[in-house]
Amino acid sequence: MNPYLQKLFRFNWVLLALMLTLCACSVLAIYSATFMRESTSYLAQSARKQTIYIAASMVVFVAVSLTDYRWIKWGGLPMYIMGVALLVLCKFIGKTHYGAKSWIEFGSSFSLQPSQLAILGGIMIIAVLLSEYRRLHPMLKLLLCGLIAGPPCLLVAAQPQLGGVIVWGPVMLAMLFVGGIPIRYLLAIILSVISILPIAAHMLKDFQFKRLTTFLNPDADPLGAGWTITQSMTAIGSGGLRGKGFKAHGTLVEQDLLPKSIAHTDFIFSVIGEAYGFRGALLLLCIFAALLVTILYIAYQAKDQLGLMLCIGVTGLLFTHIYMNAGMTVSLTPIAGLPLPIISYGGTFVMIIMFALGIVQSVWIHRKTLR
Amino acid sequence: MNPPICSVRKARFRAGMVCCVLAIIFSAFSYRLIYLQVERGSAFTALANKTQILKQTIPAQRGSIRDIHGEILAGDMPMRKIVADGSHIKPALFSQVTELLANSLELDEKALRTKLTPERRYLVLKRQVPEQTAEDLRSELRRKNAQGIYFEPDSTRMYPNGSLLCHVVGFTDYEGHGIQGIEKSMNQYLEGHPGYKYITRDRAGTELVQHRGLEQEPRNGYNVQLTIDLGLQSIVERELDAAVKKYAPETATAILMRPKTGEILAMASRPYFDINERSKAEAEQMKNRAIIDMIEPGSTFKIVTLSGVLNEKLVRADTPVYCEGGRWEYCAKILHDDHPMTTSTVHDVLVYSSNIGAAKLALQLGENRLYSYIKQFGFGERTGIDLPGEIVGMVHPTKEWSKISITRIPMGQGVAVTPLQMVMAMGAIANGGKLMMPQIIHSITDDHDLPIAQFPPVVVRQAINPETVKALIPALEDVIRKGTAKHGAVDGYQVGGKTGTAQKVSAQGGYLSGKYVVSFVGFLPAEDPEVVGMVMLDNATTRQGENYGGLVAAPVFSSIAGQAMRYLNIEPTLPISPTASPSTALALKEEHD
Repeated sequence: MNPYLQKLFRFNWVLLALMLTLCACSVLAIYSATFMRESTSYLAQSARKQTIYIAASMVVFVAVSLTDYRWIKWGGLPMYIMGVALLVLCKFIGKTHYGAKSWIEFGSSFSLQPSQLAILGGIMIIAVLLSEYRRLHPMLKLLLCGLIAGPPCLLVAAQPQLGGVIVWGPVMLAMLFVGGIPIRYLLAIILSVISILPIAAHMLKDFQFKRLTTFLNPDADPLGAGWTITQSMTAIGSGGLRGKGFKAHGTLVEQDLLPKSIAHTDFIFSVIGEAYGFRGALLLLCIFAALLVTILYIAYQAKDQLGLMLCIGVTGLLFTHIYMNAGMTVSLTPIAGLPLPIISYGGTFVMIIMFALGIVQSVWIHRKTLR
Repeated sequence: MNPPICSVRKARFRAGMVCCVLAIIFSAFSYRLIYLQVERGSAFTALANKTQILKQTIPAQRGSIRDIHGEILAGDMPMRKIVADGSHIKPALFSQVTELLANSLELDEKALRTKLTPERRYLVLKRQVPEQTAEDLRSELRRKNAQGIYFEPDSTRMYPNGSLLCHVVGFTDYEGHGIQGIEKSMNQYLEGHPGYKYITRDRAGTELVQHRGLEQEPRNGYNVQLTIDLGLQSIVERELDAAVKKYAPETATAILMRPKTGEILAMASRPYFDINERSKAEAEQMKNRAIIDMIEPGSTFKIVTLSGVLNEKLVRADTPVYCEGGRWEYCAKILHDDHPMTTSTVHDVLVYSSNIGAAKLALQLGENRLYSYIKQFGFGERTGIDLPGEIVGMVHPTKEWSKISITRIPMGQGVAVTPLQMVMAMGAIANGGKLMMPQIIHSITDDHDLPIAQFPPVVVRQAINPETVKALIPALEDVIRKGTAKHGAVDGYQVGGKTGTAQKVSAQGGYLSGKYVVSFVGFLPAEDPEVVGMVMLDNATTRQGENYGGLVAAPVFSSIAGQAMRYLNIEPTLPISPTASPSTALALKEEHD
């Protein structure tokens, strides 16, 4: 039998099913966020465009899945270098979005956030580092990891895009933890980060500081910095248990109280909460949780530590995005501007997540040698 | 080389721990969702509804009042109502916004600061702000990037002609309900039904048209067209002003009416006021004397008695009447004539306004018939004009009459009438005996000028026979030609009319000596009367012995009527004399004195 066909039959179907469910949720949610503005045609195609992005990402996903992840590890370094290079480039030709110069546009329809590319590359290199060079002294490992994470972190911080920096934290922590770094080292890192926080906060730009603190008291300035968060909470809260329903009238999204520019991207979770209520939001959360558990299960089943580390890295990446994004909409975390994986509108991010999931799928497929 | 088993096992253990941490964090998140959506769901639903949907009334435009040619007498002018939503004003901009509002709207800044708070979601800052001021404020606010101030449609009542026809047009109160004049009597037509809409606003405060809730269009008020002709009205007011300047009466009234239909063409009273500055006007200035003044008519009332005896065919116009040489004692009371006559005719009793003759004819007619003719001519009842506050006048029933009432009522004493009633009575004579209902409303149209109601002429009753009228009119013409009202003549037209000079009734009872209400009621052209007019001056200041209807009121009538004939373009029926008319002759004479 064709080895590729053989590999295809070895797919982790649960992972695939969960991912496809999320894709369906994405199209539905984006449609819910934009259908009322269909007549203006600008956002009319959002749901359609997302479908196309998903389809293209599926190709990437399958391609990555069928490639042995041990080959992929060699792809990590180029991806990482490209990410960092683009971040540098971004400094000069980047496009400013919500106060941060974080996007590079290729043509009119394709744009990329290099920080996402860099972190995926970073995950891959660190996974290789922590699994292949286990004999190294933990201190040296930490130093190397710091060297890997440092440049993109600093470049992203200079954009300034807070979310892009924050993501590195949990990802690194989880990978270092699972990678066997003694807990005392990790505690030392956590404590030193905490002690540096006040200084870092002082260096933040004004709008970022406001974004960061607003979630603590959104009522302080309900029309200014707290506006979006207040509207988001009102939208989710008014959704209630059952939600307002598919294509319901009188939603905050429809009235642009939840601004149309972000409703289908960063605040897609609010749209879901409003339209489909607690049940819908919880269902989505359960799908995400199931996805994360599946990835962790794959990590468990991985043939070697590289596979395990890759899975952990992807878990950290997904989890941080999910938690920071959904948490922001319910005023649980600061507004960091991280999209909700797969669900949020945006082509390149969907593709990067699918790439990551492809690696996980590959870990599963290649856990046993082919017969 | 395979990694040692223990390392992978350790990693797996740690992966499990990561899983546990994730589970815990996800639980925290779920709890947050439960708190927001389930526990506080209804509160947020209420908040969601409250913040978005706003019921906004759409004011209905009040109909306009126009004259017979469509000239606007009262109309709505679009204005702005400026309201604030304190919760939409950025706290940092609060002081700037209040300062700006106070300056441009001329409000007290201190008071504004206490009223306008972030909790205040709807505060009317100022009503009836001119569009220009509102527009300036809007651009200022935009420049400051300030939100929370909204501009709602409003209107104000404008009276472009100011004081002209002020008593008839009337005015509205602060809330736009008519409280005087036509504004009051026609309020139910002029007033529309305000509409409403449920609107939603986005964060910038602009309305989201694509999501507009329940909506009810306002129904604008109907337009009311009056029978008043502003051209005639201004003639009347100008002449009345001249008379007021000359004679300084306490009050003055003039009415022009078309006898064939009962349409009021002009109606003016003095003192008067400017409707646009009504807050400064005093009560006396706002009275429409034509319908609410109760006056003893004096000799003009003789037409009733004369009509009665002629209509009952008790006498003919040429039937002789003995006038006692100007002094007659009846029931121990003496009656005087200003123009003493011995043997006269029914005709001349009217021409020379003989009190004695009228009294004798009334005696011949008898109390009951006299009373019924008074009623026939519409005295003692409202004419039914569509103006508020019209009074009935005062006509006592015969059982309350004293012995001498029958001799005094014919000369207009012991009865009280309104100027309008007098005009309508004279109108009945000018109209072949048909008493008309006075009309001030010509038609009512909706805001697209489609007719809602028309008002055809209404005949109240046939007061006297046409034959009686034929006998009366020559006498009324002779009043002008050779009788008491030579100054009432109009060059080129035969005028018929009657003068009246009544002693003023004291509020304490009895008559005030030396104080007279002088009047003239006449019509022209006598052959086919187009206009009936009345001029009345209360307590005019004149030289001794000149305070007579024929000398004071008749010249005013003459100049009004002359101009009115030219204005209405009515063919002269008499050759126009090359010399000045009697009234101007009198004026010239007085200037030379």
